[in-house]
Amino acid sequence: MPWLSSGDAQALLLTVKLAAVTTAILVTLCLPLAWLLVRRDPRGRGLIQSLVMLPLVLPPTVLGYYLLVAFSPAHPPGSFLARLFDQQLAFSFTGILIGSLIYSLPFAFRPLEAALQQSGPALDEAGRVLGFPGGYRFLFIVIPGIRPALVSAALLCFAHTLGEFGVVLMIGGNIPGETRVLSVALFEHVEQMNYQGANRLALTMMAIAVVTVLLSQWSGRHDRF
Amino acid sequence: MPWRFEMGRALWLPLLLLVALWFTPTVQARDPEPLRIACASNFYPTLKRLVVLFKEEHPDLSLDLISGASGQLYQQIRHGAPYHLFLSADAGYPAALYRDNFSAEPRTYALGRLALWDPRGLGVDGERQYTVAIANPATAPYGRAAEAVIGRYRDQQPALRWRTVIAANVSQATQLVDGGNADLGLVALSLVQDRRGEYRLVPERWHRPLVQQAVVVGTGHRQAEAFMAFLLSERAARLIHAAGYALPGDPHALAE
Amino acid sequence: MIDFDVSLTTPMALRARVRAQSGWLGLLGHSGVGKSTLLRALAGLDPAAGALRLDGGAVNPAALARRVSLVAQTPALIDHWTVARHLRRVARHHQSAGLAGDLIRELGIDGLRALSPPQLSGGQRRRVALALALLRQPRLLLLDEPFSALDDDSRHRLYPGLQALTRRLGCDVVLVAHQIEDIARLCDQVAILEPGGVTYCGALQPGLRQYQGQASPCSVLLGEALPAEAEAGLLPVALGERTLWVRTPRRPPAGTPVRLLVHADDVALGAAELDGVSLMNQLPARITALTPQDSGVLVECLCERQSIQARITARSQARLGLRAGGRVVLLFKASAVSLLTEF
Repeated sequence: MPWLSSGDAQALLLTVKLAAVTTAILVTLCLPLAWLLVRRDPRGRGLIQSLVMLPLVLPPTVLGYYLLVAFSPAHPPGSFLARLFDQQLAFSFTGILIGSLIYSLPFAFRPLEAALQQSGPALDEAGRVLGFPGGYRFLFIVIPGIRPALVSAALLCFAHTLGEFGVVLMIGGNIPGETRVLSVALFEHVEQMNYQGANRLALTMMAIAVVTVLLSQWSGRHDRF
Repeated sequence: MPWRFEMGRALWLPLLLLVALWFTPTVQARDPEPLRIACASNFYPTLKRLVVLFKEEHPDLSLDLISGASGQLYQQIRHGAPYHLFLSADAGYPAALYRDNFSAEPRTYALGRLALWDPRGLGVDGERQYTVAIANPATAPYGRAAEAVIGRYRDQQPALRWRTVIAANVSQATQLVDGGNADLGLVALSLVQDRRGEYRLVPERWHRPLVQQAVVVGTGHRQAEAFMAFLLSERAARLIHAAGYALPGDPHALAE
Repeated sequence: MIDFDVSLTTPMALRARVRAQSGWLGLLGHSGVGKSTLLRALAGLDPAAGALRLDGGAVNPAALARRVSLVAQTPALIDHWTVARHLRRVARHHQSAGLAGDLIRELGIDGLRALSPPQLSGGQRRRVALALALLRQPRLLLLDEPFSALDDDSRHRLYPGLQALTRRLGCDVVLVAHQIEDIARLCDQVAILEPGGVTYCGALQPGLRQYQGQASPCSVLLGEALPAEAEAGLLPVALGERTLWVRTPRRPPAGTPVRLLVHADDVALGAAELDGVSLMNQLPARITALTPQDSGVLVECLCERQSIQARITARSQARLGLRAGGRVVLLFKASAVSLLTEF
């Protein structure tokens, strides 16, 4: 008897995929963005930081609502996006991916920005003194130099996306294989009084959370360069 | 540019995993595309049993079942949700979809009944305060019916002290009672008739009839019509009846 | 040629124009006048306007940064790289792997390979940074107080090696050093930086003379080694027609050009040569200038066409009735003379 039903296993895979892809995209985008902010220190910096912070304080349902409206193919930007992705965004994986990117943005951006602010300029200058060009310095000196923060930001972002519920519910519906993530599946099990399914799912999610925390502890301790 | 790629081994592994994950099909990549049936919460367990029967005839077909309050599912369909069939708990939502060209013509597949579920044997007593769980009247036909029924109970026993608790749909309302967070539930008969404890059938005349209609949505799926035909067939009718529903044109009323 | 013309506005206003021969140029100036700032600007680390010419032609700032290496007082290294990784990557990037072995040996950093910068002492950091700076095969090497964390022994070991390395690489050096002795040992020319700009750029001896900022003025003399004496530790040096005695264990072959340093505070003046004293050095000279200072009077004299400074009390000057143009005898012990690196 398998631990999770095939439907739940599908939800698990989907959720992990969503979290992993979100984390990868966010880290890749936030690193250069944060670096730009730290290096150039433009006047709009405070504004950008506030914008990034916004999803942190915005209720997930509000974000989900605005996304639902935005995704509607009846008018832009939904019409443009639908053409771009060749599919309707609400009720699709791409749609909840976009939702996750916005929702988890502050969790990736802030630790990265803080670390770059603190250690970035010194590392960059050392690289300059040693004669390395800008791109090389960023990729091979600065980024490895903030590895603990990088790992921490990635784990945080991952864990946060795993638990996402409100936004997905608003824009995702509950389409198995596309948008039925673990938290939604759990909700559904409880609703239908499938307590065994609910318990197993909940335990699985707990286990993932514990592993994530342990990983972040371990990574923090074994900080060898 | 005398750069050498000096990425540590550490980076290749996560990258590889990520690429593998992206290309993992999470939707069952079987031909054909799964048939998606959106179903009102009250009918969901029954639908699951019907699907088992249907798959005997169509073993290669995969089906995805989605449940929720009828109003919620209706809104999703209007927003483009990729459902192929919609089994509502009323006639109003399917009619609206048909009228606005979202679907084909509605067909009645069941007639629903409300029951007052009292699993812990507390009794309908005017003296004590009980919480009664109902589905959300704004989005669930069963919730609207329950609301009307509460009015009738109050007419009968003015001293009745009931506090209403509103759940997202009728299934969740049942769960609230089941889990002990609500004392009584005014919910679908089909959801409680096989469960522990007592229930009382609510007189049909106390609320507007729960005429449950189904529609094939949009351009549909090849097998959507097939399932609709099955839903309205004799085989299905027997199962639906046993699950706690009456059938259209059915002279048998369920016992009071 | 060391040729640059740099304007800075932050953190201070500075216009530095320098034209000098190839080789080692000492940069002198009081603390805070902007020596380190100037070096950073030359290295392209801080924004500056102006032109730096290498090999006669003007170069743009980006190309410049590639040809100029800086070793700062607290050298910048990458904390999460080992020394070995620094060497490997810099050598690979600048295609100077063949050079690495020699540099490692000369600067004595072989044993440090497995360590990372936080584990290095100040002197070790300095040497590693030097090796890396040279690995870049720069046309211009900027050294900001490279010897200040080293003990005398290490310093003396480093001097000849450094000069040989820079000569071999064909690279010019601008050296900022606290100890006049370091400048005197290594540089043929100096530039003096004062608030706002460069006030002197030229030969070593006149520059040192002009540089009044020292607490302890000294003179650099150029002579030729004579055959060594039987007595160990005593070296005669020909200064024109005269002989100067230097206490040093070193025995350069006869005829080797040598550079000597003597502090003005160690030189006494007398009206005539003395008998019956142990002083080895008694040189007749003529006074060219007298400059009253906070602590005494600085007397500049000419002997065998070289300038030697002596500092005496104002009282003694009055007592002896010294004035410009007059004849005196310079009196100092053999041990008051330092032998700088022979060249």
